[in-house]
Parts: sequence; structure tokens; C-alpha cells
Amino acid sequence: MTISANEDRTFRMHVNLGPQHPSTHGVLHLELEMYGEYVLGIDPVLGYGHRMHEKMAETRPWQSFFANTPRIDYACSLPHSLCYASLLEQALDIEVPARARSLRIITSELNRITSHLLWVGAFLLDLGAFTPILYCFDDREQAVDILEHITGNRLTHAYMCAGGVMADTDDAILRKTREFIQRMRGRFQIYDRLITNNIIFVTRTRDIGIITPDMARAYGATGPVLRGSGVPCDIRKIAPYGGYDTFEFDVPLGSNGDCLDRYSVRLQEMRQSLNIIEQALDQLPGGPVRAKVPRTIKPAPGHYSFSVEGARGDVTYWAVSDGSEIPYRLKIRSACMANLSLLPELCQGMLLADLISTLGSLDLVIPEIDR
Amino acid sequence: MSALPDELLKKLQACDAHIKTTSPQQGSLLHVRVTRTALKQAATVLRNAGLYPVFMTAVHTDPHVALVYQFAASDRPLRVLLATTADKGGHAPSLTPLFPGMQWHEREARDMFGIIFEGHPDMRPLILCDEDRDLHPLLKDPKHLKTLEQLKGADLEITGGEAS
Repeated sequence: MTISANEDRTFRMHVNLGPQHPSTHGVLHLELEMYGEYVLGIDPVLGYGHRMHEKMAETRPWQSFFANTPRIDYACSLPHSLCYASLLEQALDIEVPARARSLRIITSELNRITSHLLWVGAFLLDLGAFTPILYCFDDREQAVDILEHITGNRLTHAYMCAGGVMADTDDAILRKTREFIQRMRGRFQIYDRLITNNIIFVTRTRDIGIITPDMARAYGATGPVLRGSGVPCDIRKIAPYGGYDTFEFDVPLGSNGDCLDRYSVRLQEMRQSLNIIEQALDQLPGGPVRAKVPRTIKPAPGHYSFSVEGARGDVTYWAVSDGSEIPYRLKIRSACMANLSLLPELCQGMLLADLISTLGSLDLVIPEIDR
Repeated sequence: MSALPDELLKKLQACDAHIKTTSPQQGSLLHVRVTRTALKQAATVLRNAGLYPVFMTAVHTDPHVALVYQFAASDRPLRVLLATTADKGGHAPSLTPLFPGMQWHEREARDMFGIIFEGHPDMRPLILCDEDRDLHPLLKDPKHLKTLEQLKGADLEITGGEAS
């Protein structure tokens, strides 16, 4: 088929997707070069949610940055705080009490579940299905209520601190957590019937947005995006931290690397998180929840690195200390930025509707990208 | 697989690198210091070993801006911290041709520290807006700027012919 110059001008379009588009979840702005319904090129425009967290870290004492960590990735905030707390504990050589370690894992895994549930609902909303988000929020609300009782906050949990957690919890809420596990396990059948076996959903996601393992590695993509491509990379398994090595859980993997694989990896991960929480509740030790920590934290001059597995992948904090009570440099590595950076290569030649499902399948939290 | 293949160490040593191995709580952390000219060679070794890029950033010190790259293995507890320096004019070679994932990290480092990466395909601002392209907010005020001597434990100093 030959296209005349006149027709070419008609088909060729420059489209702004976002920063206000519902499928960009916040303020992501994609400049698309379109040819009819086909995407020729993507240029993500970042920075709308930029808050300069790294500069803030350089202006306040080490402990004060705990106010920032939950606000970087608000959908899964506890792993970020856990990462920063563990970094300080590694720098100061502090042993965290056993009960605090378990409470940290219970809350982090609950947070992973709330984050994945939010993603499932929002992803299906992007694909045009309104019903699933109502089910997801019903379940998510139960977990958020538990987190609110344990941590005191519903979204930006100020729970982790250097040396342990801010407060102990009571048996009533732990019983409620067990009830949640039972309830949630039954709910997966509903999700399978409603979403996983839905022919429209499968058609919109199968063989769409295929990420090869090599491509994911070259871009530094991690988390469910990398595991959906079949690479068994989970920091909780390969470099266990905070006591994860004492729990039994599997790392769910995809095979094809398409949107459907990323969906099923996240859904299975929620089941694994429930297993971890159940084991942690079964063997929850007593004792203190906070180690003795110096009032002013002054790590020895040097650099410190700590990595955890957030809901979206590799969360790494890297700090340089000059020996004073204020960090000299703090680098926050967010998983989303690396995951999004492969989108321009991935989506060339794709249909616009497939771009929306690929974008959704990456599970982006924009403030984490912009920081 | 052992946590630290000797082969990888040998290949890195061939890049004239200063290597320090530490074992914090999470497996091995390999601290590799190379000169600017050997940076690409060392990064190629890491790419061929199947490591993925974790982040790239800089630290403003007196007299250089130190550049720090972290890589991680996806199958064993191994992380590599590759450190070098930018020259006085803030120039450094780009690793984007080796790791496409470095592109955004390097653009961010240009925003925050004003580093110009040679060989980078696209040096537009990433996080900051166009008006703030020369703001470089993470450069230190002179009164807060520390020398490499004061940050000794961080092992960021690079010795070698063209380190300055």
C-alpha cells in the first residue's frame, strides 16, 4: 500500500498522553508520535511530582528522613522505610530485636498485598473494566485497617525506625490479621473467575508488551516486571534481609514476559505474602520491639548500601556519611524509574490500546520515579 | 555458584582497578575504583557477567565530582559499586551504549550535578524542567563541601595518570 504525502500528514499525529490522563496514574506525561492507531515513538516527560527528597536528606539529621521515606512510594511505603532503617542499623551495627523483625515482615508483606491489590484494580480500570477495583478495594480496605491499627497510619506508615519499630501491637489485631489471611485466600477464586479467566482481559494482555530477560536486565528492570520474564530475581531470596531467610515461600515466575505474566506473577505473589505473614504470626516472638539507639545518629565516615524487595522491585538506598549527624549524600534508587525506562523501546510499533495495557502492567508510582 | 567468581575479579583487575571486597549483611559488595578511561572496559566486564544496572549517581566532593555506579547480579548475592570521577569540566564517558538503562540515570545526574556524558544520545533534562536545566541542586554550597580526605571511608578517590 502506498501512502500519499497528504494522507501521511493526516495519519501522523503528536499526542500528549497525560499528565492528566486517567491511565497514567498520577502525573506521568507521555509524548506520543502516532501513525493512526500505531505508536511510532514515546518520550516520557518526568518531573511533575519531583520533590527533591535527596536534597532534603542532606539538610536534616539522619533520623528525620524517616518522615520522607513513606512518601516516596506511597502505595508500598514500608519497604522503603525498612530499607532506610536497615541501612542505618548496618551503619551503626545495631541488632534488631526478634519481635521487631517479625513485625516488620508482617507489615511489609501486608503492604505488598495492599499495593498489588491497588494495582490489580487500577490495571483493570485502565483496560476498561470497572468492577474489579470495587472487589480489590473491599479486600484492600481490610488490610489497610490492620495496617492502620499496627502502624497508626493508613497510607504513609511512619512505623519503621532505626533499631526496630515505633510501637508494639496487641493480640486482637493479630487475630484480625489471621482472619484476613483466611478471607483473602478464598477471594482469589473470585479474582480468577472475574479476571484471570475473562476472555476480554486475556485478549488484551496475552502476548502484549513482551519483555525479554535480556532487555529487562539491560534496563535494570526488577520486581514482577523481571520475574514475569522468568528471571528468578527476588532480593528476599537471593540476598535475604531482616529475617526473610527463616520463612518458606516461593518466587512466582512468568514464562512469556507479557502483560498477562506480570499480572499472574503479582497475583501469586499475594498468596506467597499471605504464607509469609502466617508463618510470622505462628512464630511471633515476645520481647522488646526497639533496640537502644543513640539519640544522635552519627555513622562512621564511609558509604553504606542496602537493598530490599519493594512491591515494584529493587529498592536501594546508598548513603555517604562524613561522620556528622547529617547525611552527606543519600541516593534513593526507585524500581519504577528503571521499569519505565524500557517503555520507549518496548512500545515502538504498538497499537495505542496495547500501550495502555503495557503501561498499566509496569505498576508505576509516579512520585517514586520523580522523587 | 560461588558468591564471587574469581574470573570476574581477574577481568576487573585487568582494567587497572582498585578492588575492595566487603561483606555487609547482604552478600558481597565489590567496591571497584577505576580511572575514567577504564570505566567502559570495567562496565563491559560487568555487562558480560550478566549484571543489571541498579543506579548511577554522583557525589560532589572537593576537587572532583565522584561518579558512582551500582550493578547487581540477579542470581547471586553480589553487588558491584563502580566509582570514578568526572574531569574538571564535568565530563565523563557515557555508559548508555553498554546499558540502555543508564540513559535516564545519566540524564538525572546531568540535572542534579551538571555532568556532561560523552556519547550519550539525549542530554535533555529529565527530572528538572527546561528553565532549571542549569540549577544543579545537588551540588554543595562551598561551606558544606567536603574534601575527599574528609570522606576518607567512602573510598571515592581515584589515583592514576589522568584522574584530575
